[in-house]
Amino acid sequence: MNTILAIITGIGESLNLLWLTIKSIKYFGSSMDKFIFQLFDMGNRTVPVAALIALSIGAVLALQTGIQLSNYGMQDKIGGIVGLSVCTELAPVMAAILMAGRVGSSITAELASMSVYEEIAALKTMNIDPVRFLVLPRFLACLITLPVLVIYMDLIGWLGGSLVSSMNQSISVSLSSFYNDLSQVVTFSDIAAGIIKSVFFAIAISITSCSIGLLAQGGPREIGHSVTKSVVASFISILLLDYVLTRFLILVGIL
Amino acid sequence: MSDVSIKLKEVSKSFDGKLIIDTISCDFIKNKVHAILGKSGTGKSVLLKMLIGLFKPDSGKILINGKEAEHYKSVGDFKMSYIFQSSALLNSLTVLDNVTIFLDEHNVDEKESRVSKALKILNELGIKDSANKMPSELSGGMRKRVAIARSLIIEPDILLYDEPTSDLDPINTKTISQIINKLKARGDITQIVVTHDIGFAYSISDTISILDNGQILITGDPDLIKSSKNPILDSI
Repeated sequence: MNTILAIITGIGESLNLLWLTIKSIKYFGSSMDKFIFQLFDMGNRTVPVAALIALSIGAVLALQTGIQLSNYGMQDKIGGIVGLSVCTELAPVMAAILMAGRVGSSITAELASMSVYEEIAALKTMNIDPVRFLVLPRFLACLITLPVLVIYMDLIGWLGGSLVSSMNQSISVSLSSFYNDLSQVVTFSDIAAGIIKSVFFAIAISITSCSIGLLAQGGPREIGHSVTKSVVASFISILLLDYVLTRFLILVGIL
Repeated sequence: MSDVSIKLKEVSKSFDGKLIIDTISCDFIKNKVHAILGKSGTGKSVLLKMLIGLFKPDSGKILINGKEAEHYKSVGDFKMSYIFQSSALLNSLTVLDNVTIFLDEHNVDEKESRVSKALKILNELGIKDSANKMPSELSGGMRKRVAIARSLIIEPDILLYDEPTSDLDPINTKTISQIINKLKARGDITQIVVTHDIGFAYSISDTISILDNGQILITGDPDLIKSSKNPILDSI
C-alpha cells in the first residue's frame, strides 16, 4: 500500500514539476548559457556510446534476420526490415535508455547533492527559482538532444545493418540493394514516429530525474538512493510510454 | 518608526508530531546583533529558517518591519540574507560566480559593475585572491567568508547566520566575529546569529536569547546572561 502511495505521489510531483517547468519557459532567455552548457554536456556523454550501441544493434539485427530470410530466398528484404525496426523502435528506445542511464542519473545525482547540501535552499533564500535555474536548461537540452540522438542512431544502425548484410556470405546483399529496399519500405512518417517517441521519452527522463533529485532529503546516502530510484523510474516510464505511444501512433495512422 | 526589525508572536513549529518551536514570542531590535544560544537539536536553525521563509510556522505570526513575513519574499520587498551552517556554496560555480549569482540572476547592474562589486566585498573579507577558485579548493573558514560575501552583495537589512563558527578553528572563529563586529559598527544591518558557542556569542552580541526545548528561557545583554545562574548555561 505504501509503495502504491509512493508511486502515485512521485507521479504527482513529476507532473507538478513538468507544469512549473513549462510555465518557466518564458524565462528561457536568461537560461541560455546554462542550456548550451547542458546541450554540450549531454552530447559528450551520449554520442560515442550511442554510435557503438546503434552499430551493434543494426549489425546483430541484420545477421539474425538476414540468415533466416536467406533460407527462404528473401534476403533482399533485409534493408526494409532493419531500416523499419531501427527507426521506429530500437533507436528511440535504446537512445532513451542510454539517456536515462548516462544523463538522467547524473542529473539526479547533481540535484540530490545540491538538495542534501542545502544549495537549493540557498537559491530559494536569494529568490532564485530552482525550476528556472536548474530544471529548465536540463529539460530543454534533453528535449533537443534525444531526438537528434535518435536520428544519429538511425543512420548508424542502418550502416551497421548494411555492412553486415553485404559482408556476411550467407546474406550477401549489396549495399545498394540494402539501401534500395530500405528507401522503398521506410517512409518519412516512420522516422517521424521514432522522433515523436523520443520527445516524450525526453520529457519523462528529464522531469523524473530532476524531480527525484530535487526531493532528496537526508545525508549523502540519499544521493545514491535517489540515483537508483531515478534510473528505475525512467526505465519503467520509457517502456510504458513506448507501448502507449506505439498504440497511439498506429491509431492516428503515423505507423 | 518602530525600532523592532523582527517580531515573533506565539510562533510554533512541529515536525512529525514533535514540537520543535513552542509558542515563542520575542523581538529583534533593528541594527543590533542578536545571538540565539542553545544546545544542538533545540530548534535554533528551525527558528532561523522560519524567519527567512524556508519553513512556515504552524501557528503564530512573524512580523518583519511590522508586516507579516508571509507577504514578503526574502529579497523582494526588503533584503534579508541567510548564511548556512554548511555555507551552501554552489560547487559547480567559481567563488566569483557564487558571489555575483544574485545580481546575475536578477539582472542587477552591468556585468562589469557586478564583478567589481563582488571583488570589493571579497577584498574586504580578505579572499579576493580566491575569486577564480572553485569552492572545493577552499578551507572551511574561506567557504564561510564566501557565503558571507554572497550575502553582503545583496546589501541586506537583515543577516541571518546559522552556526557560523561550526567546524572552524579559533583563528577562523575570530575572523568571523571580527566580520560581524565590523558590520555591527556600520549600524545598518540587523544580525541574528544562531550558535552553540557561548564565548563567540559574548564576543559579538548586543542581546542573547537562550533557547531550550523550543522555548526562550532568558533574553538579555551578555552581562545579564553571564551573571545568570541558569543551569542550562553550564550544559551549553
